[in-house]
Amino acid sequence: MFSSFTRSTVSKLVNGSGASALINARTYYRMPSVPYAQKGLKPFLSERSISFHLEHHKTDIEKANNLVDQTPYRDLPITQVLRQAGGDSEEAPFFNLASSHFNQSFFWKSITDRITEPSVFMLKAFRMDFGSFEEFKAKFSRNASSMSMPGYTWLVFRDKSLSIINTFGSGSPYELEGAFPLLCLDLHERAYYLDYQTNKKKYIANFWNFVDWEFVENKFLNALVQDKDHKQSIEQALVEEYEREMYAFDRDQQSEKDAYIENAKKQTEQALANKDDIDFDDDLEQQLDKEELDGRFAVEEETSEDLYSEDDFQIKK
Amino acid sequence: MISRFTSTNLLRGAVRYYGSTSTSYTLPDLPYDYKALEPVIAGEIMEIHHKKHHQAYVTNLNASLEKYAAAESAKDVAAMIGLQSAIKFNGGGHVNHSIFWTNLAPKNAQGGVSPSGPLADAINQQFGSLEKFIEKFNAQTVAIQGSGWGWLGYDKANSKLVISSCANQDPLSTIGLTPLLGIDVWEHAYYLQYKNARADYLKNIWQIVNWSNVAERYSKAKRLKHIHDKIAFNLVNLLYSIHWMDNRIE
Repeated sequence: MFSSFTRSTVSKLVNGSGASALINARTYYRMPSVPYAQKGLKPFLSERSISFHLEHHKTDIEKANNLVDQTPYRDLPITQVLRQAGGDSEEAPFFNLASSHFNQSFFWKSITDRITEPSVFMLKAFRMDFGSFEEFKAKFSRNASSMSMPGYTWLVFRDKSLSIINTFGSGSPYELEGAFPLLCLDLHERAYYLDYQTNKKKYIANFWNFVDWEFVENKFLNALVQDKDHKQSIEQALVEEYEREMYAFDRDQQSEKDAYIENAKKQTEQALANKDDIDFDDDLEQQLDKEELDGRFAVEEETSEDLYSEDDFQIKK
Repeated sequence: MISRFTSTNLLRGAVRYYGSTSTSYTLPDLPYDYKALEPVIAGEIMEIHHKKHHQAYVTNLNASLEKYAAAESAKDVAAMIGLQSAIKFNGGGHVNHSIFWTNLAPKNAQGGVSPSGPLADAINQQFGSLEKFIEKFNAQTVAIQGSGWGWLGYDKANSKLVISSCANQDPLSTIGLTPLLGIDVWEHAYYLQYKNARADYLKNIWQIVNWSNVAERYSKAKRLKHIHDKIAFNLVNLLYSIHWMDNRIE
């Protein structure tokens, strides 16, 4: 925000006063807003569990802020830090804290107490990459429950497709080239131990009722800003799917009609062949007679006159 | 070099033996009741830690070793390699927790009683005093990122005590040290009682550390080092004599 020249002159001016500590110690990382922290997310996570987890998260943020000024990543946004600092062994403690902060924040944002549903666009993307929405949930849950070491399970968009990855400890999804995280589930013991102890499967099953699908879709659309072709291909595929379904509906109706007529013809032929009395539908016949007498099916006789005569179009002299 | 060779062969033999017969690893019993370590560690934690977590490591270790034996007899090297991380994780978990249960004792049964004898001498010599050792150990262990173990280990090569730490369930042998005292800082070891206050857990746990067990492990490690050195010395002598005899025969 301030150039280094301004920063150094300002710091020289105020170095004598106690204000230097306040001005030089800028806070870079902040806790995101967690609106459900007061009430909790029953029956997924209790308020108690969330509050202890938030305390742990706060200490991570403080430690990261204490370290960030001494690193070369002080002015970068956190996603850039995570992309670049992964291989930096000197700044490994800082990277671990920053990654841990990002991962935990992403988890707080991935869950909500509002009732949300995945949009049609999101569902089509799931169908394209996993077969169905249920299969995606099953695969994500399997990935999550197979993690014996603490970490996170992520839904990421990468290489024009959605995929599910696991990160361990304080690993970051940004360590994978070109990956955009969309959704995560925290599998550290501190996230679920107070409420579920060893019953991780129940924790994962409850998670699906509290996912913030609007957040997931926002992240997906942000990622697709850089890949408009893929977004168009999803929309195109969605339209095609609708059209196919509509035609299928008409075709089904048509085939039903044909089948009915075929069946009726066969029955009549059989009856004639067996010289049975054809079973006329008496009610229908009476109704048809009545309608004919009422004149509903009266066919107008064609007149020889056209609706318009030639005289109408001639200028009367 | 020699010990790694023999230990790998021993492992192979053990895998072949244990994989092919019905004997397998079992959950060891605790030498005390679940509630005996209160108020330092709640009985609820001990029960879940022992019955669920340690049992899971044992069960999964047996399953992995069975699959490993099957892969070995089918000569499927890729499958063998794929199973190694599961063996390391579950086997490490079993080894570490088996040591951990013996490292602790109730307060009325040796728990928290300061060490004496050669171990105490070594601690005082290397760290200054028991309090300074505990301070250093706690500082290092509380800083472990995520899940792992804090260890007091014995470095056979240099005959020294070492404060170390390992991530996840890696056993201390992966660093080449002999484990003497391990403190589990996975969250399941303390979260139900101490929540996220790992420092408080580490401050209190010294009240139930069974130093006599640690001293036993220390003297055993030193004896083994002594025997190991003797064998190595004799073996080297033997090789030199054979070489000399070869030259003489010519």
